[in-house]
Amino acid sequence: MAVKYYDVLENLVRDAGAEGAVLVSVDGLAIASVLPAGVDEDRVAAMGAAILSLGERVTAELNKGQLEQLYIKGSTGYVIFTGVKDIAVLGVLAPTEARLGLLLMEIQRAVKKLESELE
Amino acid sequence: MELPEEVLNLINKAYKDVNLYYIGIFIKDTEIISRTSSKSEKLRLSFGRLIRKSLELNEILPNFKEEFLFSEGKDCSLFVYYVNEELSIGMINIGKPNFSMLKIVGSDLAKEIKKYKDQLKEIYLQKVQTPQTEEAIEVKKEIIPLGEKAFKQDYPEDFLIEGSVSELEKALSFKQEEQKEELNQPPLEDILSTKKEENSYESPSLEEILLTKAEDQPVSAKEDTLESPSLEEIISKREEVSEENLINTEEIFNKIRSEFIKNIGPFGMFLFKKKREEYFKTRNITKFEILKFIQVLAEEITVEKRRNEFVENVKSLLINL
Repeated sequence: MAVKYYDVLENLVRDAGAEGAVLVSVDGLAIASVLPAGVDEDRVAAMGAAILSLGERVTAELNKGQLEQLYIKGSTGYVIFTGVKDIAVLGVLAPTEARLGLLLMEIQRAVKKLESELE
Repeated sequence: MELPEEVLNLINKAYKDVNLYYIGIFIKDTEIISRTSSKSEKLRLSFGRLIRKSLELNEILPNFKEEFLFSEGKDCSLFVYYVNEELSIGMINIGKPNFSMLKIVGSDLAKEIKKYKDQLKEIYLQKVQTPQTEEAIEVKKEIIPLGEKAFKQDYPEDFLIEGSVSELEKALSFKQEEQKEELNQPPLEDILSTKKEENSYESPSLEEILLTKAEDQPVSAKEDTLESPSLEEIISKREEVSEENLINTEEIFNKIRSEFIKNIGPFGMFLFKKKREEYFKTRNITKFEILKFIQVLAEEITVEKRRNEFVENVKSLLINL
């Protein structure tokens, strides 16, 4: 099963010009990943789940439901976390020069594939 | 040190111009000033934690240097503009997410706020250095005099006109009670970041939780508890197995870790690792020490319901192993 997830992540990285991607369970454990060398899979996974969960705690206070996506822009690129149903989080690392519109579209496509795989 | 009036004006202007639900200036995870229609303390704390966690990205991706964070749901969006490594501006917008607008507001505000970074840092240091309990005591002292001024600050005018002196005293004493309750519930981040003194923890221990449950049951129910052995019994049974070299301690730790993460959240992964390393640095893995270790973990879970759930689940896991 992890092979299927890996394929989805690999296609996403290739098609969107991303640097890496990781699929994380809501408890912060990595399910599958395609990450550049030197990036700690476990730490990215735990960080992704924690950040999205903290964002959701904020919106829970507002009674505004769940967050669909959270992205952080840094001087070296983007880190984008997207919820996959209530069961996983997709994290994507992209360089600064990445086309954000294309990247977000490809992420949505990958999320749909992952949702159908996780069903 | 007082907050510069210019900063207050800048915050108020952004709040009104963009019709924000919340805007606040943070240093690390501490809110220095905010403007919002919400009175929820949890909102501020959660937003602060989100900012702190996002700043930790630099540890995973060296020199990442956050510029902004944007998050959207169906009816709201969060935006954080990082002025520098410590100072940031947090905004919450209710309604259709509008990334571009929030980014422009954040960017403009950051240019202005940067001028006051030293003053803001001083206020932050004052806030951090003043123990929370002292702050709360000060607030209580302000409330105790039943002066009209103090009352007017907290209650609407119509309440003032209709309320008698006894009602006023009742209302204020109720407010003090509420503050006392808040004092007894330190934020989770404080519990995680500072090593607690053993005696200061008021929540029941693992043994107390299990003991209380057993006592609460009627005599017939107590007989039934024979089918569900206590945690000590389970551990001792496991120990017997270990004597036969059949026990896999890592398996036990993995199960405990999973349950811990489930009940405390994703950062439980790091916390478990940290606590395990700390605890077993000077101790051997014995049945007693595992039991004590579970208790240490349980004490980290501030929500009582979750803590009990963790204890119960660990118990049932150990039975099934």
